Parts: sequence; C-alpha cells; structure tokens
Amino acid sequence: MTLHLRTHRRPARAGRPAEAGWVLAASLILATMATAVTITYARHALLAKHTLQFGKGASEVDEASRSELERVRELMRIGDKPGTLSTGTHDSAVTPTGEAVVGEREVTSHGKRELRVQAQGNSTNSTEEARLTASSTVVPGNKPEVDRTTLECPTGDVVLAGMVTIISGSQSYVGTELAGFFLLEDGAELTLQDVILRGTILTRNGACPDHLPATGSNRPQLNVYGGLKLLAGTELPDVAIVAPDMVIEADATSRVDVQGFVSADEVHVNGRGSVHGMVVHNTDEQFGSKMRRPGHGRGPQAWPDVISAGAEEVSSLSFPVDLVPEETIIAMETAEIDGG
Amino acid sequence: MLAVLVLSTTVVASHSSLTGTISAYHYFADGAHESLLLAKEIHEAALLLPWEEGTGSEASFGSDVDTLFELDGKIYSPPRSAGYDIVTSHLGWSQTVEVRTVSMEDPSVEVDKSTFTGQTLTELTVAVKDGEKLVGTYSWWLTDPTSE
Repeated sequence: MTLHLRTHRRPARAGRPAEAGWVLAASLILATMATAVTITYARHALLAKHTLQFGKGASEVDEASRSELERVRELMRIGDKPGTLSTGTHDSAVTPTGEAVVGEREVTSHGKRELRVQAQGNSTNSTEEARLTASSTVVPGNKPEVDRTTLECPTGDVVLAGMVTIISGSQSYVGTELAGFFLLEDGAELTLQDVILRGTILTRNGACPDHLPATGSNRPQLNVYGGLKLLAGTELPDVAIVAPDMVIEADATSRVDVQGFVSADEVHVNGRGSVHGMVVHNTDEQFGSKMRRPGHGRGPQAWPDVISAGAEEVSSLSFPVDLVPEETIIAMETAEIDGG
Repeated sequence: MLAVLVLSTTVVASHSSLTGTISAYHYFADGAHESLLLAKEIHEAALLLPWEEGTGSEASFGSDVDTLFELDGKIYSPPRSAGYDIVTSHLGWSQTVEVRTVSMEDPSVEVDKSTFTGQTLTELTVAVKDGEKLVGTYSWWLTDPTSE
C-alpha cells in the first residue's frame, strides 16, 4: 500500500510582517497608557497633597470647612439662619485664605437641624475639597418657645414689651387662650388650632426692619386649623399681625376672625369667618369666598356711639316701628281732652 | 497619528501628575504643613477660651490671656501648643496672633463692633514664621462658645 501524503500549503500573506509591527506598536502604546493611568491614579490616591495632609492631621481646606461651620453656627445664633442649597438660601463666603465655602442648614425634624458645609480650595494644580456634616439639637435656651419682656434689634435698639413669646422651630397651641406678642424667628412655624389670641403676631423683620426678611422656605409660617380668634391687644392697638416675611395659611375647614391690621408675605385663608382691618401682602393673597372682609381693608365697620354727620348729606331717615299694646290705643281713643 | 495623540495625552497627564507630586513634596518639605499645625495649636486653644471674663470658665492661655480677645497681638516665640507647652521641635519658629471683628456680609472687611450696625463675625488669624521668614498665615471664624 502506498501512502500518499498531500501537503497543502497556504500562500503566505503579503502584509503579515507589517501587521505584526502594528500589533507591537499598539501593544506598546496601550501598555504605556495603562502604566501612566495607573501611576496617575496611584499618585492621586496615595500621594495627593490632601490625602497626605489628612494623614498628617491637618489640611487648609479641612480647616476652612471647620471655619464655615462656625460661621453657620454664628448665623443661627444671631437668628439669621441659612437654608439649603436647593432653595438658594444657603450661606456662602470666601475665607481669608481663599477657599470658597458653602454652608447649609436643613430642618430634619421638630428639634433637629442638619448642618452641612463644603469648602473648596484651588491650588495651582488641583482642586481640593472638604465636607463636614453636623447635627444640631434645639435645646432649652434655644427652645421653640421662650418668654421675654424685650425685643432686641440688630441696630441695638431694644423694644420693651409686656409679654413676648419667642417661637423658633415648630410650636403648636391647641384649644387655649393666649395673650401678648408672639415673635416668630426665621424658619419658625406656629400652628394655632381652636385658639383665642389677644395680642400681635410678629416676625423679626416685622419687629425690626433692619433685620433682613426671611426668604423661601426659611420664611416663618402661621398655620390655622379649627377656630382662630385673633384680637389686637392693648400694646399695639388695632395691629394683629406684623410679619412682612411670613406665610399665613388657614385650611378650608377653619373659622377665622381677625380684628386688626395684618401684613404678611403670603396670605391663604380658605375657611370661613371675617377679617376686620387692612391686609397688606407682598406676594400672594387668597381669601375663600366665605371670608367676609368688611370695608375691604378700610377698618372695622362697627356702629359708632355718636354719629357726627359733618358735611355729609343725610338722604333718608328711618324710625323704629314699635308695637303699641291694644289697651294703650283704647286708652288714647277714650281719653277726655280738656278744652276740646 | 493616533500614536502621537495617545502619547501626547500620556505625556501631558504624566507631567501634570508629577507636577502635583512635586508641589505636594515642597508643601511638606518646606514647612508649610508644619506652619499649619502650629497655627492649629493656637486655634485649638482659642476654641476653649471664654469671650468675656466672669463666665466661670477656667480656661486660659498663659498667665496673661484669660479671654479670646486678650490673644490679640500676642507673639509666641518659641511657639506654643494648645496646652501652652513650648513646641521644642520648632524652637526657631513663632506664632503671631490677631483677633478681629469682620463684617458677616463681607468677611474681608474689618469693622468696629462699637459703631458697626450690621452683623459681625469674629476672626482669628495666626501668622507662623520660621525665624524672620513668613511660612503661612491661617484664619478661622469663631462663634461664642457660651451661645446656645
């Protein structure tokens, strides 16, 4: 038997040596890139200035964030509390050493505030950033309700007041009678349900015009549920609410009776009742159809004790119709008149 | 062409990375970081000091500083730690302290608290020198520790 071995030879490709060269070059380039990227990221991870500073216990940008945290605390202390970045009410500044810092304060619950600060420093070759988050608890001394007898303004002026209740944070009163001034700090929320209040509701901006008005979600808010009878007191006669930066909301089931001047940023009163007095607002006003507003802000229309006609024309007169008893009529008709 | 582009990018990235490393090296080698640490010692001490006398705080910084504002103008050479100990590793260095009141609106503006009607902020500045050479100046804003 003869075995024939057939060998098939494939023709050599003309471009093979060149292809091998490209593969080698591409491999070299990729290897170089991979090495460079690895070294760069390793440097960023291990040898970055900020990382090394952190390892050695101090960095400028961390100190800037601590500094901003103190600034936010100071703003809270003086009553000019910042809000959040999303609402545009945050605090921002540039430190003396050039870091841009941003501070936020968010109300997370009735007695809790979250403070967030961020500092960014620009050196020649890199951007450094540090963030700090802290929580703050509303404690006695900064509690939602504080009684005072004076109001102090940024100008140093002190207003003596008989009885001032300072509200910061959230505070509710249900089924009670209140009296005096109620001063709402920036960001405070006062809820009144079935309350009779003889006095005046103020905000910092209302009491002290030099105190900048609160804006956005940091505006003080008055919520009304059930019944509210707000009667201007004797300290500020005919003045019920002086709060140019406050939002007033009364829901559709509320019964509201306000007697006195009202100023607010927004007024939404959808229940039933009456508002006697001028209402001034900055942004929005909404009174439900069941709200009576005698005189539309020209003051209460109570009957005066004495009518002074002055130059006004009297166009008609009316007299009360009194019912005369039958026996009186008979007595009058049967009466004998002398000289008649 | 592609190779040139890739290589150029790699060279630029590497250069940037190495420059950053050199910068970080000089920061630590030339004393800038040490100056920050020395300034922080004064800051830590300042945080414990009362702002007014008679607050019941026993914190002090040396025999002549019982309140924060008494730190103003003080020069500590050799430098002091937050516990008022001499920092023996840096005997030739000094800390110069300044406490001033600035505007809350624009902290770069120093104001007179007795006449300024706006809101203010208290600022602590510490300048650290190695001999006569100023190595770093650092500032912090502060709030009254007794405030709620």
